[in-house]
Amino acid sequence: VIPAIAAGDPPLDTARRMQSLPAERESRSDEVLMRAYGDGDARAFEALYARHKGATYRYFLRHASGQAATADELHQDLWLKVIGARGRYRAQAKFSTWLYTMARHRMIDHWRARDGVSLASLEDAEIAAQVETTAGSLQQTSEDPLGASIDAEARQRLLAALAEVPTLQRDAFLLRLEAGLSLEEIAGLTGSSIETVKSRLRYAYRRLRVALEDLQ
Amino acid sequence: MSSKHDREPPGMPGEDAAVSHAWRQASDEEPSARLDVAILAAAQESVQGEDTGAKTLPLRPQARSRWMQWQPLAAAATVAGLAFVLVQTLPRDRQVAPPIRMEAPVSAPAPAAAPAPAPDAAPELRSSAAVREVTEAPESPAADHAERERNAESSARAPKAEVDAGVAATMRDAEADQHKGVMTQAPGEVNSAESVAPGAARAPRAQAAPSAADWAARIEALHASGDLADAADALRAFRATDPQADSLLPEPLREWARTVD
Repeated sequence: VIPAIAAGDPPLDTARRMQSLPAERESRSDEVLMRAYGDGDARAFEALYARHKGATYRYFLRHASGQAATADELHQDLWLKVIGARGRYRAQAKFSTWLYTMARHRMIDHWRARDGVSLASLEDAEIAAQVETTAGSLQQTSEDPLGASIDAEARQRLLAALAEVPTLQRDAFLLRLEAGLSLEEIAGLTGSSIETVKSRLRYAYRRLRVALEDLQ
Repeated sequence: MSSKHDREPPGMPGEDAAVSHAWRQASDEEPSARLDVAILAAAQESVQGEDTGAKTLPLRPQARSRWMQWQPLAAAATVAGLAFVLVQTLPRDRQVAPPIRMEAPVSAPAPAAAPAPAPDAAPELRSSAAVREVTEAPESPAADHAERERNAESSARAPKAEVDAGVAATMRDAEADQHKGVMTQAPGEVNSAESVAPGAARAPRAQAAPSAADWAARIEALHASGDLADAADALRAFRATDPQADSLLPEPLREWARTVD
């Protein structure tokens, strides 16, 4: 059951509790926290959610081309699934891998429902994009175009550039940068080889670097 | 509060550190507080709902196990009761299990009670009116008459070949019983009646002489089907067994019977 999101400000106690999670809980691993939640410890879920909510939200937000309403819906669906699975969770894999597997499935379901997009069509788009990249001879430089910080324009340009990256490359990039998954974990999660994941990441990095270089 | 360091993966070959750094600065959105509250509330409810259920129903497991223990027995008793009620309330259908007059077994020269027919012979017996008429014994004169009427109608509707085969078998059996008193059919021999009704052939065949009512019904059926020659033959055979045969025929047939010498 998806609870309705209440309008207005959140209750103070909930907001305060989230701000002041005990450090000891933060030190526990994701898997331990999830098992504790499965045993009825609601505070463990709060710690777990606080740890991952930003990354999962941004994962959906970037894939949804910045549409916050879509990201809200997908983010809520994902965490309600986590809540629903608390009694069945078995720590056979890393919690983050399990979490992003569900997130990715939810994202693909969304694409399929909205545009009739399938994984096969995404892979076709990926091949076409790689051909385009090769023909364009994008040059990768080793210079840091932005230094230590970026301004608002650079931020917008970066986000827009990622939105134009083909879906599977963007997916690999987000799983790497937002979720913090390793190449092996991304390969296992997406059902691809490590070389394929590397190739997708290289492509995404090139596109973003070009976007940043244009600012110079 | 997800901290930035949580998102920083170890470097990989070919990874653009500058782009990664810029990305982490650019991408910092968080879900709204309302969304957080809704999700945390759902998580809390999930735990509390389970606790509440466990507290308010402490005797549940015991009750459930007791029910699970008696459930198979209760189900079996219910099924048995329903079956008994059904058997008691269903009407008895004479057509399903007609009383069959048994005759002497093949090897026994003297008339004796024959074994009951095999269960699978009943449908075939019902499918052939000719064979059935030989084996069925009317229970009363009224029933006999009604049975004859039904047989006559069904015989008239039946294909002529089937009627012929059934009549031929009946007549041959009757003649054999009449004149020889013993069965002439050798073991394993297949007669025409068996070819018409294989199921009936597996059952012990009725070998007694047909009654006057059977003769009358047979002749009436042949006459109604238009096979006057066979009807005449049957009448002659009937006369051979009963001198008053003509008078036992139905009224409409008596005039025709006078034309048969």
